[in-house]
Amino acid sequence: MEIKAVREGVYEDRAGFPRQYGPERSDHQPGIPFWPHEVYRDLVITFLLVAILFFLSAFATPLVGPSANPAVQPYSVPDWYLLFSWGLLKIADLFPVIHVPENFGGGTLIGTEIDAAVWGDLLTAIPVIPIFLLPFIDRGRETRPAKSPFRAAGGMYMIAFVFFASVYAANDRIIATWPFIHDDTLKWLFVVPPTLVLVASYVGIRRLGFRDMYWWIVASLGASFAIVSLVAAQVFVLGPWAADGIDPLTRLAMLPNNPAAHPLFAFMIIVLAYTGIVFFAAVALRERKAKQWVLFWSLFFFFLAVGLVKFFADTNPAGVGVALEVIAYHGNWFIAFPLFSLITYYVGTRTPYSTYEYLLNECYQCGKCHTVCPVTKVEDDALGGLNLVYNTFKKQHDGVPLWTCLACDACSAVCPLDIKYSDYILEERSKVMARPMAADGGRRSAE
Amino acid sequence: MIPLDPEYGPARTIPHPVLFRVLDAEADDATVPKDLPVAKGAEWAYYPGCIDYYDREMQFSHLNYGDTDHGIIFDSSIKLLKAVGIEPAILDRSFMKCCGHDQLWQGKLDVFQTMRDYNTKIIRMLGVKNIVTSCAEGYRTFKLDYQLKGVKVWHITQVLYERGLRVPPPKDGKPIRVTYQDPCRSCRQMPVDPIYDEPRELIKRVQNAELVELKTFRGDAQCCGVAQMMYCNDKTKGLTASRMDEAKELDVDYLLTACPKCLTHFGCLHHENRWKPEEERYRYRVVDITHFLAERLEGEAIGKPPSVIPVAQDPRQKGAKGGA
Amino acid sequence: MARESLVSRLNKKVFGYLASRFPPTPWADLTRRTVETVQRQVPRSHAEKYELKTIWYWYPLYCLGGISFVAFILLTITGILLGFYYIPDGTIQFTQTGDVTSRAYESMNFIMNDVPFGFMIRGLHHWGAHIMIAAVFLHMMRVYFTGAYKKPRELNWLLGAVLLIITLAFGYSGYVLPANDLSRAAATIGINMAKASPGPPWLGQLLTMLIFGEPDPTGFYIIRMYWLHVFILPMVGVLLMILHMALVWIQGVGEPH
Repeated sequence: MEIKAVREGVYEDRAGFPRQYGPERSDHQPGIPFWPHEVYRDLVITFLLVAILFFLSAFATPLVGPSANPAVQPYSVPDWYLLFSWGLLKIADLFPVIHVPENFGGGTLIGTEIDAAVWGDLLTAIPVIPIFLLPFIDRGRETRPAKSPFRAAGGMYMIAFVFFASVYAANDRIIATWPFIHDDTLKWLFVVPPTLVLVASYVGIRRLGFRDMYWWIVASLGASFAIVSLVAAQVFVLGPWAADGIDPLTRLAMLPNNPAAHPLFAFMIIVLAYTGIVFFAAVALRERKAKQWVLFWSLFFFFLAVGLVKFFADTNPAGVGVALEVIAYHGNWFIAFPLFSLITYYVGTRTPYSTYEYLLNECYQCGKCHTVCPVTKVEDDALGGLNLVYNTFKKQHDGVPLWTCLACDACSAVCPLDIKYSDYILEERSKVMARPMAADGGRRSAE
Repeated sequence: MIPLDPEYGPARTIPHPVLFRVLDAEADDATVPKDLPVAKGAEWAYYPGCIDYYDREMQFSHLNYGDTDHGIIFDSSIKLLKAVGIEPAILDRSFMKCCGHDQLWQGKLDVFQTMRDYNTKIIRMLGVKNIVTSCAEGYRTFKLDYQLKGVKVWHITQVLYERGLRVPPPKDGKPIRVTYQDPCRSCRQMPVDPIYDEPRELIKRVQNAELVELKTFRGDAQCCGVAQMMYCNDKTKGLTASRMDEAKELDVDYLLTACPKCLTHFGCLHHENRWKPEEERYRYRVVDITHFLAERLEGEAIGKPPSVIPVAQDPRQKGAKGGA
Repeated sequence: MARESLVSRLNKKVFGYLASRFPPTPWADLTRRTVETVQRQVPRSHAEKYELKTIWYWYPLYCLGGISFVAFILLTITGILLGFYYIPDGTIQFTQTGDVTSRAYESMNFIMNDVPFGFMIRGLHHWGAHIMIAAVFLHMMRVYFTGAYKKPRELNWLLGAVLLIITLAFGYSGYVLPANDLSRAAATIGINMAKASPGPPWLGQLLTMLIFGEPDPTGFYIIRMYWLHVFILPMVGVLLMILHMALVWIQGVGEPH
């Protein structure tokens, strides 16, 4: 390709490309002109924003409210962006009061004790300090989430943590509206849901990176099932509906005669069965069949649960009350974990669209693959017409280029980014010829 | 590029789509035979793959008058394995299916998966510990795409190298020049255990053979031109021809390869170029490395003589009319 | 046309007036170079430049930084307008009917009820603040997930983190100002948190006096918060924002791959 022909055909007179070549060039950052292109673009967005603000001001005008009154205990919640701090302040009294001894600086240097208020300040710093330390902790070069799943999942964890801390800030209002929710359950919101979000995000992002998934799915779903079983066992052993002093087996035997326990028992069976089935499907079944199973059983259990709720609401309202209380108390386990199983299963096995095209976008168009491709030596080369990698970016890779590729991997052998172009060919061809397969190419073996 | 006469050679008329429809139809039948004609618990098994298929049913070697002889790879491999003391169980087409490499690369993942599941089941039933194949594509497919746990996958050159195959000195010490085509499937595409050195070492053990390298070799070796039986047109032939020209420039006596597909394509072009003797370009033999080594071993002669060709049409006979 | 266009004649007149009073060469050349640079400095993204037919779903999210800045401009303008009427005095006073009030609170009521479209201006300021903070958060998340804080952009990330704190401080000081129930609650929490700062006891007291101006929430905090909100934070914030955007200009936008 002659540079002149290329220039004329592709680059000339187009904003964004340099007009000068050679060491004397002075336009070092060619781009779009600020006026009028960028100005128009920004004006449109600005007007849109201002329109939204006018709309909100007119129809959701903020009112001033009652004046500050030193005689009245203020009962107000901070604005949403500081709620996480409020929630963390509320949790601060869980932390032990530490008395700083004199010789460790107690008194004038550190203060005599680290009490709830100080803990509150320290806890508020938790989501903030990592922000400042981030570029020094993470020095890797990989920017894409699919290639650095741990970092991306960590980000999701922090977001979930801040979110659930904000939810906890409204704990008094939540309990006022739904009295069966216990404050202890809400306290676990700081720990359980963010961790589940971390694991589910990690699994999902790993999937996007075209990596092996099997053991990750098995481990997370297995842990989910195990934890739910443990908590269920604990509930049965220490069930609140039975009198004290009775051993669990006898209590279980007494179950048919104890109608107040029936809704709870039914619900727990549903939760256990569901989590178990999702785990079993992930472990033992092939992906396509497993997806069908999970879909079927999710719908089945959902409608079963709804039906049972209606049924028990009519026949056994006391039992429903007991069940609600117990389930709400253990809500982090009985509600979050089955949801986690479903979501992890879904993100861990879904067929991401064009996985390999996503990975292919690491290419920075150095052209080495084009140089060594044997097909370009025999096919017409019109401005890189048959370079398969370039054509992928221009979405012109179906038709002749896709099927002419020899999959000889000469390109992958020289690629500085180690992009396995033949894997991409395989995926694209199978999209045309075969049923859509999972991102691992259906590599899990028959046994 | 060499101008190629479209009337050259019958090999070009082999209908590849028919080949693949037949193989796909075979894949649909997934019933596992109850009695397998092979003893169970065999340590070593040899999987010939499609070479005997090409020979028996697609009749390459008959059509090409022996210029592209696939079946001989089978015989050679058995002879070589026996020479290093291995009695392999032979997993041939009567109860195994095609390995599925071509279907995989053509995009027919579901067909590939059927074949893979079937073959894997048979391998497990037989309790095989080591699988040897003489085909580079088979090597890659079994090693990477099948993921057989507990079974070690070998290419025959690796086995022969490890077991110390000895090639006796030749009867006539005439030196021969030999070059070797690295198949892309077993070399560049293998992230583990690529086979670069074993064939070269084996060639070195043939005392009168001098190994010369083609213009691009080892990791940079140029593809033979056609893969997964997708295309056969002037352009892919052009690639094959450019590779064969490299060998011609080196003035070799043999062009060796370790992959039956490479052999097919080189052999096809080789044969086309012999159709008109006065225009013969490639005066070297194109053989598979197993055939080359087995020819030089003692013991029974391998291979069958080419089928009887009417004298008037045989281009190698003097006085015959050239051309079809 | 024989005569030049109106614009160019006007241009010449204006430049001529200025050029005969100020030495033209230094600033005209500088102006020309600046215009040339600005006019060519908005680079096309990778996808635009190479006409890649790939839609990256997060390209629109790259507007979030700009949206925060636009929201900030809006807040400055509405803030200036509000500042004409707001009185930063939080001392407790009583109305004629005996209700608790303060001059700040009264000025807020004045803005809402008596100033023409005062409620709209206050609404724009209020919602603009929420949108700016939301945009800043989302912008931070976008930069995190696209890895645009890595080398060579670490300093810019730190600047952004400081700007995040400044934005939150803006928001906080802002809703402490109206001297209503929410402000008092917020001020109480703030004063208590400042007093309980980890470290030597004098640090907590110093911080409380610095930020709030009093150790207990009686109403004096309003003037401190006001000064922070309308002078200190805007000055520091604008400087840092300009620096932040200049760094992006110099280093280029960290594109997703």
